[in-house]
Amino acid sequence: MITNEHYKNRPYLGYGLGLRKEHYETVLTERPDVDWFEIISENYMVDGGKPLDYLTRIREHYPMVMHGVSMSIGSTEPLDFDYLKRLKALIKRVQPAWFSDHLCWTGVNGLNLHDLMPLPYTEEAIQHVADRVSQVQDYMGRQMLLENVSSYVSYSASHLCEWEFLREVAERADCLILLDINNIYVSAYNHNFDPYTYLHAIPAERVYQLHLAGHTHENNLIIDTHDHPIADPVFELYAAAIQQFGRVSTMIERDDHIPPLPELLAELDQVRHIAEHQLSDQVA
Amino acid sequence: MTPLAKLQHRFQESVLDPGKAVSTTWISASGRAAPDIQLSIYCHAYRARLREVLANDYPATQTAIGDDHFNALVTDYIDTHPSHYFNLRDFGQHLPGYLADRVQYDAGYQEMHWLVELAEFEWTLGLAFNAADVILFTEQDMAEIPFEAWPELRFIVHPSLHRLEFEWNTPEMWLALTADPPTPVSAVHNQAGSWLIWREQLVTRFRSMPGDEQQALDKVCMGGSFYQICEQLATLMNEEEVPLRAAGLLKAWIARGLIHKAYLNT
Repeated sequence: MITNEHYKNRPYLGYGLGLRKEHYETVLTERPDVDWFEIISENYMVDGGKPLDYLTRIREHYPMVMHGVSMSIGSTEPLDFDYLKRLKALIKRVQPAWFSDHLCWTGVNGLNLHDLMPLPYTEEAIQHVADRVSQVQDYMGRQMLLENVSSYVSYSASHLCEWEFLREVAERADCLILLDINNIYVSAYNHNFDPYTYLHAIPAERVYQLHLAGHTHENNLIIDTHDHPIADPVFELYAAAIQQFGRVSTMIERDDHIPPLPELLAELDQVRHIAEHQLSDQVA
Repeated sequence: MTPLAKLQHRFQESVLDPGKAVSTTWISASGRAAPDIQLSIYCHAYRARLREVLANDYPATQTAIGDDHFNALVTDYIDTHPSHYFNLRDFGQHLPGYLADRVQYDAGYQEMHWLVELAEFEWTLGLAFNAADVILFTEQDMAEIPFEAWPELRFIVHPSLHRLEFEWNTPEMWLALTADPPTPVSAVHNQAGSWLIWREQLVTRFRSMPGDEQQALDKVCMGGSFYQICEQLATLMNEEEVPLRAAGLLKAWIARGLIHKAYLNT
């Protein structure tokens, strides 16, 4: 059995939420019982104005982590050092517990699709991504977290499973993992694999953060829309993740149909209850 | 090109130009959905995401022409101006220019010259919203400048400051179209005027300027000295009125957070 004793060095922030502009004022005036916030890095890569002002004031009261969507770590284009420079400056400003981006590519030919495009699970892609993660970590002077994405396409070229790919990239690059439980569930459904097999293959010592979110059924697929409450099967998978990994910082991502903050706090209580129940079972 | 690069180019081309018949043998048929369905998820998401971004950046433009017309417009824009930016915030920057071309060459837009100004106004409001924060020049700073330094004194304006020239009642239209609920408004031509857009602390503001203020402020923005600003004003009024007007303008700009700093060319 895995207990927290195994991962004493893993920082633990508790239960968090994605910081969204709809909640800025409530967060500042009511200081809700959220252990930490995750920010979307690109939302604050501006020169000044209101978003940065809110960020500064909220940061005074809450720990934060930074989550990016534009690093395009899997692209075959050269790394965008202009982007990385701005990211580094934001890291210096926010002093996050860690920063993350997605195991994906977002464009080639100087273009950006602004989507998290999946990679083929090949040896070539593993080496390509691992090399680039190492470059980023060298430039930033710290480890980064890579997140598994939801995917709707499977490549004929893939000869590995997604979990083998993720594990191998993380080990070769010596980076950490942000495991999105909803994304595992979505991709498992779309590509007909067992989400628990995925979970069990992930090296626990590298998992520093978990994402939870809602999804939508569409065209005989599940789409990772982040516009609904977390679905029951995702909660079940989360319980298994806590059983396997022990105490890991967990947060809810909601990006559309954003409800009033109390609704998300109630959902976060549900998350907390499930995790603490799993952990108390372990102690017992 | 490596196999990975080839795959990414092929996938991207399919997303950018979904109408083009391309082979989908690179997509596995082992998933729950057929390859063309798998691909269509990305094609659809790409356009939906960018349409949403443009709707957020151009709410008055959307209300002015209606959802259907706006969707058709921005879908064309998305297809002709793919994003070169890491930040979605920058994606819509060419829409006013794109609209200007449409108004000039597309019969469907012939009567819509005002729409170009409206889009330009909305985009500029966004620029001011996200401009850098800087320390402001204050009346106290002004009082500390020795009398003899004034003629050669030059100013740096707040980075959020933008000047626009309108031929239409654009700000009035914007206010009406972004009201909740929107109020009826008509585009009125021959409303020539100079407008100032800037951010005062955290609040984005705009106002029209009289001709003398516009000329004086243009001089400031071009790096003109206080003496040159006065010279400019002297072309518009009696010389004895100039010192009072120049001082009054500067004081008002400082009070509204338009001046970042003053300096002397050494």
